[in-house]
Amino acid sequence: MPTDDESTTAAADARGAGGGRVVAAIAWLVGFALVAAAGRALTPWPEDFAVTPKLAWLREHPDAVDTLFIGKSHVFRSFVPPVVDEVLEKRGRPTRSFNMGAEGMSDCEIDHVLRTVLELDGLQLDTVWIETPDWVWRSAVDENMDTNRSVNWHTPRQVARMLRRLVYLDEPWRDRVELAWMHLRNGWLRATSYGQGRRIVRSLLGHREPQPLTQEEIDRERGFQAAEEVDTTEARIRRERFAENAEEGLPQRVRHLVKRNRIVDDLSHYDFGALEAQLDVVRAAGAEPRYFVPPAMHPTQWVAPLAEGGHLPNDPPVFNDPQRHPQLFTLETRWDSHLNRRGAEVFSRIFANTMARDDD
Amino acid sequence: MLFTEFRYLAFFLVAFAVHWGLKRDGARKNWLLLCSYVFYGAWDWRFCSLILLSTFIDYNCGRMLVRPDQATRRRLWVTLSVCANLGLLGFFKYYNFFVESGEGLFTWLGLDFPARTLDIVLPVGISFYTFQTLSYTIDIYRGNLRPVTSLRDFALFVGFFPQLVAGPIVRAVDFLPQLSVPRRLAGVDVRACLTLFLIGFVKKACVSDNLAVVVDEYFASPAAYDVVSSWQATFYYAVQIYCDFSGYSDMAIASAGLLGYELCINFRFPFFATNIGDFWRRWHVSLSSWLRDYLYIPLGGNRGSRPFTYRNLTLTLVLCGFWHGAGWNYIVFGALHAAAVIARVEWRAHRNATDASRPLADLVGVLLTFWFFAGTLIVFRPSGLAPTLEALRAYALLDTAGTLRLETGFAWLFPALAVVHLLAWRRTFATAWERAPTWVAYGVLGAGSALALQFAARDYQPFLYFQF
Repeated sequence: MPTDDESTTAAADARGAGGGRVVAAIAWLVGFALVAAAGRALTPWPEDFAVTPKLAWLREHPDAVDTLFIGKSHVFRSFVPPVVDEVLEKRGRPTRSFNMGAEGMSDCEIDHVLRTVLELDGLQLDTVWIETPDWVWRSAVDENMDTNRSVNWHTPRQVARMLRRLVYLDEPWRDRVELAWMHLRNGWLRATSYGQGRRIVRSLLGHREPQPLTQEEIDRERGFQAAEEVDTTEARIRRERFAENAEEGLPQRVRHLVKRNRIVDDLSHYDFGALEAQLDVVRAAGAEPRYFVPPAMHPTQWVAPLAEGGHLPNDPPVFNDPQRHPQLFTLETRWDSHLNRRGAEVFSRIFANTMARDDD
Repeated sequence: MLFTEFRYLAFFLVAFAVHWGLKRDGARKNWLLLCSYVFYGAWDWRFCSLILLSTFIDYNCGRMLVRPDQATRRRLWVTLSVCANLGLLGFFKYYNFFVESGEGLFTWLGLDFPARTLDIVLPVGISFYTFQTLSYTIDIYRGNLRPVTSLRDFALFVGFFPQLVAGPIVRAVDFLPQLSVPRRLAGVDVRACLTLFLIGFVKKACVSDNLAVVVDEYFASPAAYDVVSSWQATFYYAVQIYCDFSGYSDMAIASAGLLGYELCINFRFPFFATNIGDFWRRWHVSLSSWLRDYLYIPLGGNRGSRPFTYRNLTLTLVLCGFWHGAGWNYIVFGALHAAAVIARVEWRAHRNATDASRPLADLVGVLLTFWFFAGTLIVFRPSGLAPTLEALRAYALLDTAGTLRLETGFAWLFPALAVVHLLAWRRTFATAWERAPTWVAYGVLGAGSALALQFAARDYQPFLYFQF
């Protein structure tokens, strides 16, 4: 065949027939797999992700933690590990806790981060507190699908989970096919470290991208960062929107939350397999899995039936209930939809006391 | 669906596997035709009807052109084919340009212009397949080709997906005979095809798409940058365009090759051209040779006085520029190249060079040709009049008030690409590569593919030539 630029030759007629083709295919696959695996191993975690510096800290201090809190932003902005440790110390239960929360994590992303943490060398966790997952398929598909962060959690396991959920999803088939395609594509991008070459080279050359948390901050706060200390455009907009109409808006949102909390899910679309796999992986690492609901401003209608059905290892403490914890839903304790430092400290004390009571 | 997308990989694997899995050649052609329409429909299925229309018109014109009782009407049929094809192209691609230009002229004269612009979407690849079908009827008219008897074969020639949307512009005389000979997988040089596809992917995804970011940054506000940045961005743009288009051609040729079909060469190391005439014999060869055979030579070529030849050259190159897009910038681009070709002819007629000065003259020629071509790309790029003039002033007159400096992270690319290009041109590793044991060659290809994916630009950039 003619070749452009004559950079390759148009020689050979029937090169590699029969056995030759098998050798060629195997050689190609081996070459591809080796370089892809090397690239995967060398690809740094996304630099805009709070989990990345936290993982680096845990690698450096694997023996400094025995209790882990993991979940979305309402975990990140709510658990103050030094406060939790102080309360538990006073209750005669010394603990060294760590906040592994990060903004905007989907359940699959949390699961992926959790598995990565559990695989760290030398880390011996006693308890892992996990934000109770809903495994809602669609929640993992949003405008962030094209980001490095989203690609990062598309391990073969998570992609398979997403595809399995297709069967149960109550959506038009076209949407399902589109969603499946997006996850398959991200799985491919991750497996091949697509477009990560420059980051790999920069990382190998010792270049460090700016991270959302410094190691000193993590030393001090153990993974917590107060919502009011975040100086990004997005955070400022969030705060402005909240403050604009806070006096009327917050009570209204709280009333709405109370009403929506009464709705109970029938769990017909719940991925119990994913939940069981998560429990297994935590237990296999020698830790006890515990679930909870952080002081978020949204309902979690799947939690009560999960607990009542005996699917969870514990009766999860629920903190998105303004009637039970009114002090966490006031202007004094909220910065935007998240708690402020003061609110986080109040919450951490309540949570630590709950932990101690459960242990008793 | 871009050749660098994961979607295309999945699509091609299915197309390839079913194609070679089918026993009968007719079934294979049916399958490829179906794949081609699916491929084209992935952009906008409505435009499949346009290809169908073009296919039917030219298929029937082709048959009518050889009917004994139609001998006196042959000119009519070929005119119908030319008008239908150019009419479709003219409407979808140039209608708004002519209306806007007419409106501008009438307004300048203080008159009202009767027509209005329409909301027309340019069908992807229309310039490519229009020229392909035109070559079919014109070749039959000239007696160089027998009309094809199978509508399916002709439809496949027009719609064959590897070359459908961005060329190379395949001549009927080259492609149709391949459809009458059954394809054999054993006849496919898989190693060469995979190598070529990988080279094309690297050019497009790793070089062109990465350069696009810097180039776009400069051309967004050229007045803000200094002269060094102006040269840097202009050279980057030349490399970007080259890698984009030749990369696409490589992947198209390789995809077709894997399916057992040969497509023509589209680039012959254009950046090693020693003059602008030589450049056009190396750049987008399928278009330049099409224009030579179906426009320049019928116009009279160089078989006349010098002014006559210059008129033909100018017409051909201006139309070549205009083929690229409906804008005055493309016409100016073509005119600049025509002026350069004419200047070169004049200079050659009066110079007194000896053989001893040849290597140095060639080197100077290569550098000058590249510099000129890159400069004309400033006009080619649709940035608007003011930014274009700013960029030209900085590039050609070294005059700008800008002080910003572009990122120099890609500067190493130039010597690296020059060396690779030189090695490829001299075929330094070609023999070794051909003789390499199967497991070594495919192992390297696999590793190279994985590495290419890692260094691809993160976001897919549409191919620049799709807009043409």
